[in-house]
Parts: sequence; structure tokens; C-alpha cells
Amino acid sequence: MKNNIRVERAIIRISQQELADRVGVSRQTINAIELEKYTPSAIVIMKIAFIFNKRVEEIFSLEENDWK
Amino acid sequence: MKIILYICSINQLKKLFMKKSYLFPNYFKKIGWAVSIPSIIYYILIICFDNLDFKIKMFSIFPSDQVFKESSWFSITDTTFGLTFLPMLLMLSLVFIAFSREKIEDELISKIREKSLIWSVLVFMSLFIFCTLLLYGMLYYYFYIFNIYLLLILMIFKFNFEIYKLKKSLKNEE
Repeated sequence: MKNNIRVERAIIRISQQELADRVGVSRQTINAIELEKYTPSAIVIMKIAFIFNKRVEEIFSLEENDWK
Repeated sequence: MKIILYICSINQLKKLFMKKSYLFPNYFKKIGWAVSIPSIIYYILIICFDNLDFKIKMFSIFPSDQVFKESSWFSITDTTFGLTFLPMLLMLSLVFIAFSREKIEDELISKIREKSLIWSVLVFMSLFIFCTLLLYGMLYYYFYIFNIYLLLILMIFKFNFEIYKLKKSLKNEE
């Protein structure tokens, strides 16, 4: 799953730690999500979208591998 | 003593059982390490030097290993510290280390813990099958004793290794 969390963070000027605190996860988790090493749960995805005030599909997108 | 009283207090027990997670609080990890390291050292010393173990009397449901005494149900039997309290202490301490919450316990950590548990079970079974087929005599006996703790040791190793890799790959924020 692809995401553009890093870009969105830069737009609203918040750090990984701040985003992690607002979502309720660790900074390591946010970093792993940004590096696409970890696929978060639906709750975390929706929380991130809410914080950025965007729709989920504007931040996250499925890849071909996700359909297998 | 104070720690035991605190742990056993009714409120703490309620919190423990009402939580969705069955993990111990984070400070149990320190207790686990503090108990497990001396236990492992003492275990190795007992194996090397028999006279370091000391005899104790324990209540037994049925002491089946008494050769020259008559055995009866629910009686006091002679045993050693190394055969009773030491294995129990070591097992408990390893459980505390393996199943204590991290300081920040989130879904990624839970996922890593779950993967570590599955990995450790698979490796444990592979090693058990391998050693059962290829080891015999006293070597197998020692492996069998060590086998009791192997699953937890594997899980602790794998979990901490994955956490280390995760922290190492953490990039600095822009």
C-alpha cells in the first residue's frame, strides 16, 4: 500500500512524533508506515486521514500486490 | 513484600483481567531480567557442581521416586531447590520478559510480538524433531531440560531482534 504521509506532514508542518502522539502510536510505527514497511489498521488509517483533513484514498492507495 | 501486596491488590487484579491485552505491565520486564539471569547462572552451576544444590522438603501429591520408603498420597517428600523453585522461578521470569508490555505498546509492536511467537513455535518444533532424532543419552537429557525454556528464549530473542532492527531503520525526521 502506497501513501503520501510525508508530503501531508510537510503541508501541515508536523513532525513524525507529533503525528504519532495525535494518532496514538509510536514514532517508529509512523516511520514504518511512511517507508511502506508496515500496513496500518483501518483505525489508524482513518485517524491519519482525519488529522490531515483529507479522504483516506487521497493519502493511501492500493498497489497491484495488495490484490494478491 | 510491598511489591507482592501491590500486585495482589484487588484493583490491580481487576485492571489486569479487564484489559483486552493479557500482557504484564512494563516493569515486569525488569523483574523478569533480575530473576532470570541469576537463575540461569545458578542452573549452570548446579549442573557443573552437584553440591551447590540444597535439599528441601516439599508437599507432594504422590512422591513416586522414593525407592526405600513407602509412598503415600499427599505427603512430604525430599527434593532439592534445583528441582522445584529454580525451574519455576526461571519459567516465570522468562514469561515476564516475553509477555510484558513495551513502554509504547501499539499495533506494530503487537504485530511483531505475534510474528515472533509464530516464528519461535516453528523453530522450536523443528529443533525438537531434529534433536529427538539425532541426540541420545545424557546429551538428549540435557537438551530435554533446556527444551522446557527454549520456546520462551526463542521468542524473547526474535522479538528483541525485530525491535532492534526497527529502531535501527528509523530515519530522522525532516
